[in-house]
Amino acid sequence: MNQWWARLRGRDLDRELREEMQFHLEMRAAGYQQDGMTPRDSQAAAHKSFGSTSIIHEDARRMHIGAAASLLETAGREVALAFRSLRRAPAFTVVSILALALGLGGAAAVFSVVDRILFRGLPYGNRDRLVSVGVRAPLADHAFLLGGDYSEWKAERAALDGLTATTDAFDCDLNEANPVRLTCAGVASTFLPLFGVDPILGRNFRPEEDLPKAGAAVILSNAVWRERYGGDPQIAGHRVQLNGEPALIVGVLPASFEFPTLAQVDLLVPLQLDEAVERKRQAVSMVNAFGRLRPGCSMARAGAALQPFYENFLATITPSFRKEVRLEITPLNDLMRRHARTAGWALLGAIVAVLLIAWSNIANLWLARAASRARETAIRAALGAGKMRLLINRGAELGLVAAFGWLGGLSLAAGLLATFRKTAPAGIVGLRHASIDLRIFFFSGLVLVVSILAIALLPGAGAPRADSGGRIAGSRGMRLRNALVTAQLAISVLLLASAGLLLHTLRELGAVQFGVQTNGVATASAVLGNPRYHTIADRYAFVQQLQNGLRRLPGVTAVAVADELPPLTAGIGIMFGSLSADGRPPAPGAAGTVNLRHITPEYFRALGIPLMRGRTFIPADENSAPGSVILSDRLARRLFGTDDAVGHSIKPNGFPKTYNVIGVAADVKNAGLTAEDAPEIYFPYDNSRSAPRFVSAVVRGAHPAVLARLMADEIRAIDPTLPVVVGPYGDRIARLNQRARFNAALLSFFAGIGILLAALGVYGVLAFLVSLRMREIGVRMALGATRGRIAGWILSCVMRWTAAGLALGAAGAFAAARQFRSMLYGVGPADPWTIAFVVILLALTSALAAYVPARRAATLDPSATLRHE
Amino acid sequence: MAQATAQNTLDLLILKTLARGPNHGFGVTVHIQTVSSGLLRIEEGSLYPALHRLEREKIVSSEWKVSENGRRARYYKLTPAGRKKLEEHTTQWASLSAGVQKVLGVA
Repeated sequence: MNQWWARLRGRDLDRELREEMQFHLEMRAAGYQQDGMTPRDSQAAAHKSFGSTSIIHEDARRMHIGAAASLLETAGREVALAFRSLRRAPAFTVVSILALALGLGGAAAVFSVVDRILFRGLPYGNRDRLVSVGVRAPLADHAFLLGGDYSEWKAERAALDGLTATTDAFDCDLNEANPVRLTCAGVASTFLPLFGVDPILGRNFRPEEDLPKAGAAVILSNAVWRERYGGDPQIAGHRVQLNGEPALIVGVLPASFEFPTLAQVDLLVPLQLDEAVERKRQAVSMVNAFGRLRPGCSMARAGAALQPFYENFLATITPSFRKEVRLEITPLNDLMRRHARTAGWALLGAIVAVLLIAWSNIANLWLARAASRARETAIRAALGAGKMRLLINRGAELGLVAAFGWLGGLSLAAGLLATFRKTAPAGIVGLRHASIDLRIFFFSGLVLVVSILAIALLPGAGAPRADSGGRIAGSRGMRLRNALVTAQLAISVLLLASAGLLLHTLRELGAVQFGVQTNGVATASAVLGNPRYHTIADRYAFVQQLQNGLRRLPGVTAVAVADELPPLTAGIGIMFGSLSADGRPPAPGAAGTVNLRHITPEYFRALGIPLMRGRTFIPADENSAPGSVILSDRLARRLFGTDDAVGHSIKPNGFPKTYNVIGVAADVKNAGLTAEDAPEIYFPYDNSRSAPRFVSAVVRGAHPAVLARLMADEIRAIDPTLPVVVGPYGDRIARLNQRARFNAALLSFFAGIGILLAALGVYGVLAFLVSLRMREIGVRMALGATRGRIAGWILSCVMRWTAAGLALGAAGAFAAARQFRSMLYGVGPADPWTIAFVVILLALTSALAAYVPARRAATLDPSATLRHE
Repeated sequence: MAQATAQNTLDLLILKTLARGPNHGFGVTVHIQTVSSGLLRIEEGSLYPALHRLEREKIVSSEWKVSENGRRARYYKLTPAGRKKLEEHTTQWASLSAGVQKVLGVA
């Protein structure tokens, strides 16, 4: 019992022993002093007669706690010793832990995202056999089927054991007390079962709910269920107002659900495709079709099986269109990861790079520390510390740093991940579900153990050789450390150059000229999906009322409404080949699409788009016969060459009337920020054809941010249940840049860490070199070397391996950038300016890091240095 | 045998000293040195381990008290088991000593 108590209170036992010895020594010294010795001599004599207190200590301890526990106790003591010695070297400790935490934290955070993009399966039960089936045409950026074809292709049963369809995600409104714009997607009742997804509450759509004109039903996404309905377990069976119509909530999706296009979808609604009408081509909808391959069916076989269906489709379209389409069957895995894959690998590469830099930094620090402690080690060994003990001591230090680094790293990872989730654009698979789970925990633990072991196994770092004394600091160790710094610099150049290219891309994107003067323009958009706006006349009336309201706002100089604003279109287009000019049919083989845009008269003035010829619309153009259109410059030149287009006429195939060209407007970007522009036709926003459901109002005025809020009020005054998105034009563009900004920000963050660590590495190695060569420097100075020469000598040591690192890194950067070319815009992967800038920046950084040690060497006092030993 | 005897001898000297009353380690060395007229000098390196071993074997017990010069010191005293051990050791030593003397032909 006593012993147990003593063991528990090991430190007290120590203290008691020390006190007992102290008492003994004092008494002895007092005796000597009485005999006439000086106090100082008497103390020395007492110590001498006493012998080694530490041996008594050790013996007493061993006696008290027994030999078996002694090893444990030794280990414990070494850990405490390690703790103390780490605390004595705070800079070293903090830098080690920081490097480890940064490297590990970044790695864990990024891995948790990348893991889902690259390595984990999709959140579907039948993921491996799911394919996207469709026709690829220049109209859309992904494969699609026409509604009638989907209906027919469902009959294919040899290769597929099911074909289902969805729409793209579209805006929809929940008109309740607190109206909100959400994203909906229509899905066939076969969609969830085919994908192997089970609602966590309620049920899937019934086949009868998927019939045309069946009542509206809705399945909530997990996020909407939790955030808007407080996770109400009784939610199934409730009714909501969706686009102004009552809809029945039938189920709730699992949290892991992802829509196949990776769009963030809040609500699923039944597709309700009228197959009979679609087959007769009386209505034509575009759907995204997904099939499930029969077990063991190859892609080639599926292609062959669908070929007859595809040929039937070809027979229904015009010959000029035929050349531009092809059948496309893609495994869903590839499709969903297409966007994020490059970014995923780039991120993984970046994090491996940071990890390597962090690792070589820590390795370098430990090498330096081991070398500088070679004497201490030798002394301890000479005093009888066993090899085992020295090993335990080194291990304890590494282990402590590792433990703190791990903790710091995991918390950093959690923080980073939260930031990713907030700032990342939609379309990164699984990002919303990424978390620091067990898998990440073990991954980071594994990385940690491997890196620590690798450091411990470096010659001269981990395992101290008791016999080697001061030799560890020899030239071999130095060469290894230099090589590590070279590697760090090379990787930093690579990282920084990649980040530089992405930043360049971002700047190019920001500077994209899309032919619109966005300054001083506020925008508001809404979707008129509500039954209140069922007829064209209703929507037309709304637009007129809105324009009148907006004109009354203070400081407004122009007001216009369009279905969508550049650089986007509302997604309506026609084939160029279906356009006849002045009554003659288009030239055979004419390819490409033409965008349609509906605008009100002040559109060009509000957005500052120059009218190159003719005039803008006037009220008399609305509903006129023949109609009036304005062409984009590109289209005018393509149709009429150098002729003035004004006064000519055009007729799109299938349109009821001919249109006179009344004006030509300058080109604007209209296919997103980076894609090739398409020619464009402007129609007046009237109530003759189909006044679009999409409404984007623009107002030019002095204070766009204020105007945007007033616009929201104005729309609310007209219809309080209509959700609206407002903001300055710039915000709209910024949303388009989101992905590029995310990529650039992330890589810059890593590059920042990398450059910091590399600078630390250069500094650490040089500082160590100086302290190691202190005597040599002293001798050189004593022999007449000037301060300048000494500094030059030290700097020349840096130059060689810095230059090597920079050269290697530049070569690596050229190679790496080729791999993520698709993420770049407006800059080539081998942009010499970016790489030159990066190389110069890093050269300056290393010079700065080298300055302090070089200066220290140059200002050494040679006599003091030489007397030091 | 030699080891055991040397240890037994040291134990006996310590126990005998403590039989006069509680004392600290330093007191024990001083006492033995004085009483033996400087013939026997106890190494501190052996004394304290021996004291701690005896304490563990519950032959002596220790407590912290204030010494004659006002310092805190650890005082050792015999336990009842210690007194018995002392008697045993004394008899053993007497017979051993008598035997050795006879063998050497000193007596």
